[in-house]
Amino acid sequence: MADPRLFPSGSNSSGDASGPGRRKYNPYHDLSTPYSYQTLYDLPTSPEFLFQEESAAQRRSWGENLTYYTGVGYLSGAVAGAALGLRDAAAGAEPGDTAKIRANRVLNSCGGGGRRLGNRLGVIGLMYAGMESAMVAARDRDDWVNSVAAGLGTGALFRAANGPRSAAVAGAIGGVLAGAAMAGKQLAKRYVPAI
Amino acid sequence: VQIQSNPNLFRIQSQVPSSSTRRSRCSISVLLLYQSCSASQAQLSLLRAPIMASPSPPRPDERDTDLPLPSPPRKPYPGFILDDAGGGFLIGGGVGSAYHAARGLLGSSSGHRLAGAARAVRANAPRISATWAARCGLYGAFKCALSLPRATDGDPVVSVLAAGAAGAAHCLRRGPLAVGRGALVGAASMAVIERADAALDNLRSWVHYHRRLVPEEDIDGGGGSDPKPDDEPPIGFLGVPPKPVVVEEVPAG
Repeated sequence: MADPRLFPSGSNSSGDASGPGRRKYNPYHDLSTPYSYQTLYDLPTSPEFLFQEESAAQRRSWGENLTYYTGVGYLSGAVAGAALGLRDAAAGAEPGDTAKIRANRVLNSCGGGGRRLGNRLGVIGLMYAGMESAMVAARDRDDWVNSVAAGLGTGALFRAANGPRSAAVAGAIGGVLAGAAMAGKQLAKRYVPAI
Repeated sequence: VQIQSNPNLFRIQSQVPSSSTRRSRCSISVLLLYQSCSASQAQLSLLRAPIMASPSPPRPDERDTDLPLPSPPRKPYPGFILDDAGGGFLIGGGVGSAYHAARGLLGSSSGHRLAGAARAVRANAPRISATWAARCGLYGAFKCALSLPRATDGDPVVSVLAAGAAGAAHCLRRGPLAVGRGALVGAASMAVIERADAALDNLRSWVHYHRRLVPEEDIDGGGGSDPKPDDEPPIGFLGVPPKPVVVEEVPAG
């Protein structure tokens, strides 16, 4: 091991004149700088990617987030609304109906209920995705705080027209549901085995 | 006549900027082998990060290659059905709201324009967004069904057939003539959209390729004892095949 004092840190000052903001690589430069043990072992815990697009692909962009959550909300609402409409059609059946009238009633009830509930849940998904992407962009972090804040904002905004008390209750419900969904997702990732 | 639009065409994707600087604690020497389109010989590039230097130099924004960056792969089955339904809901709601707001503004009498626009949007936006979400969801489902036997993703024939099937399914309650008309309109619209998408992709590749042809100015400036990155490595360097020896033939006599 060479003596660090043989190569002082100012020895490459003449080489720095080659360009502004650019210096030649000196392998002995860091040996003369005193380091503490905490600095030596302070390693980042996030994965290091070689290319920028690899790090960008680890999560959805804001556009993909918007379409995905809106689609999840609309389709789940449409299926649930269709099921409720089917129940209403079965309850509203009368003796003596022909097959055509019965089919027409079923289609009308399922379509109307599916559209109504699908629209509502689609709008909720749209607001949630927009707020979550905004939180990620503002805080530059991706954790459970973003989801809970997005749930709170979504619930409050969804019931804002009904008055402040209803908005507060809806916001609380939204935050609790978002937190429960995040906790459920973490538990599923940890304990449910991959098929 | 409602023209069905491809939701992926209007999707705006931007990356979330990450301003966190990561510190690398080890020396990284990476050999990158890539091929250029014009010359088929392999070129070598060395990336070296300084030891224990913080902050580390920024990573390259784009991969250093002549080919344009490939578009990110689509969602696996059946995830893109949700994505298509969401896209249809967003585009239908957005375009429908704008159209009916303008129509309410222009159609109402003076003094009632804003109220008329709001009333028109509230009356018509849910219907249009639900219709477009249903159509695009059906399109995604049919595309998923038609892609399974062919085992290909992004096939324009599958896309056109799926759009025709979605249009037909959407008009089932209006009779067989409406079913045929809906299928034709859906297939024709998707054919036009696929052709436009292919043209945009070709234009993007053309722009990217012609931008690469412009020679880059020298970053190091004049002189300096630093070896330039495009200097050819010596013969026999590891990973690079040796050059063929060129012998000039001297004519005899």
